[in-house]
Amino acid sequence: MADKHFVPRWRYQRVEIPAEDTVRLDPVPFSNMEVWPWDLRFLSLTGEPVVATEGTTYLSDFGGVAGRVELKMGMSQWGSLNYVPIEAVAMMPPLRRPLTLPSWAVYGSRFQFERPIILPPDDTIVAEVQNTSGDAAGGFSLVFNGYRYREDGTKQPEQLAGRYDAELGDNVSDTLDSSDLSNDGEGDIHMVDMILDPTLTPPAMNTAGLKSAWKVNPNTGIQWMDQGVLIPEGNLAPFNRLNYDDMDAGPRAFEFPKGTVMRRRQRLETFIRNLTEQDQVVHVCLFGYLEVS
Amino acid sequence: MAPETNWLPFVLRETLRLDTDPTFLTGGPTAAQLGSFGMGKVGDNVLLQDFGVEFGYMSYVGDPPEWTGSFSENIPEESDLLMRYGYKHRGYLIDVPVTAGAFATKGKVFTEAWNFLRPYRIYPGEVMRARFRGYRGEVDGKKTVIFPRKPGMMFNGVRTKDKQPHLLYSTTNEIDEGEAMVLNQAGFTCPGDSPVDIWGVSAFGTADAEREFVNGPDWQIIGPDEREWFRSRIDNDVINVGGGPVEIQDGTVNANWLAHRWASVELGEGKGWMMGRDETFVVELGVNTPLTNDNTQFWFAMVTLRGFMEVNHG
Repeated sequence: MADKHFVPRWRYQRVEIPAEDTVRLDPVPFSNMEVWPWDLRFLSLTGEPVVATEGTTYLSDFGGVAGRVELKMGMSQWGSLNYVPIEAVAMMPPLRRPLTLPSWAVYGSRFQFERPIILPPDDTIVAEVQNTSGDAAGGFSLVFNGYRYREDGTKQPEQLAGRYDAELGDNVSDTLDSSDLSNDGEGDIHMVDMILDPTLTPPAMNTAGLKSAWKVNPNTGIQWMDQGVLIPEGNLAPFNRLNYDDMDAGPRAFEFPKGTVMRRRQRLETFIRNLTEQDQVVHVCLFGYLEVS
Repeated sequence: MAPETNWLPFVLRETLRLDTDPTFLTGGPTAAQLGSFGMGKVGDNVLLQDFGVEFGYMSYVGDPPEWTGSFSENIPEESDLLMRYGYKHRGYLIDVPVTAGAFATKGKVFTEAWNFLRPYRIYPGEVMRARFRGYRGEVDGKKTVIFPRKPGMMFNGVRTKDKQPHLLYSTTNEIDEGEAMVLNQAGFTCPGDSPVDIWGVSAFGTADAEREFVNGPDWQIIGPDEREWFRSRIDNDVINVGGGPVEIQDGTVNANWLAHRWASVELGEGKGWMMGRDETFVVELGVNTPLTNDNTQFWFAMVTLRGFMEVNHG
């Protein structure tokens, strides 16, 4: 039997929810259109903070968008995941890195692959970045850490990186220079993690992870992200504490129970209710590994 | 009997002055500074755990350095601290340097703790030693507040004979600024009936009112083999400025090595960072636009590398 091969797959949609209203998400992005099972890992959620109530909102900012929406999910041919709507802040726990402090330092958002992803020789990572910071900006950076096996079986560190050095206008996207994003050596590169960095100039705040959006795919083989859309970094890598996040307003993610597999033609149906008196834009992304064999 | 292997923790630090002439991205090396970390011929393998990057500037020579972790704050727009790293003689892992922040994956922590990737084993009769030096209080507005410090240190270990947890710890009395004190060694002594595998070390009672160890408590740890793991105030805190070397003012050395204060770039065995003893780890740092600021004399970056050297007692 051939070994199973796992390909990360992110699918994303942006939805605007009127005040105190419920929206049913488009089921198409959250359906498995492939022939392989999709081993689901998380549903990430982020959004710019909105003023929830009139007057001082400092305390109501805690939890960010997760405190202002509730979700109900179900899978076709399978049934409900939750029978009653649950507030996202209860469904999606805060970061499990309690001993870090919020800071204004702009770090990369890291996505750790569950098992190393293989980039074969001569293959290249093709990355496109969109500046969604609201202002012209440059310096968007992408890093992959990994290793390659030497002849004696030991690991040799490898890195792939790209940086968009020129300035991008707001909402403009472009492709990163790929000279350092290729496996030009002999043998496979085993990629362990991926880091996305919007490289903001402080005091720009990136609490929600919405300052940059990305489309990252290998040049050959099965794609990681859809071609038509770029996904905010907060949705791609929700398990990071972003800068200025002193009120835990960063991205959240619901982690599916282990073994939640979406078969082909199955889909995740999601309802999101806006619990505030203002319209909200939320960004939702479904992530899992395609079990390609 | 096969010789017993031990992993000696080590910390190496380099403070680099950053040139203000920006030719880093256009091919010239003048804005780039290189830090190289070699072990010499000690031990066998060298496991690199992580390195911290701090970026700072000094308004006037002799003034306390201002540290920033943003890699772009306080420097002109569109300028970033750029970085790449790798092994000497094998080239950098990437050709075009990218923003230092893009490599960093861990932020600030509440308390100073260093969890080891490999245990460091001490044997019956051996004693750990630690020295602490009091440092200046935090400046709150215009008023300098000296908080009482009764710091201590704990080595978190496991007895090898029965796999039970065993803590080696010690505290001091209150220490004034600038005063140095060796922690009582009774609590740092390995028990007589079993070696202890130390899996981590933490310091406590060192944070300020903001729960930050801003200027860094000045710790020195000496192992039973008389080898100093690291000392905050070392020669590397002297950096070259214009006419000659200038020491970063006493009492303001950023000492964070038990925990990287700003940004930690993880290496580790899982990514292949098991270095041969004759290899050298190199970091290159630079900027891409001029570092100019009316009140700034010079800019520098500090790289603190941590890891473990494999040795055997054979």
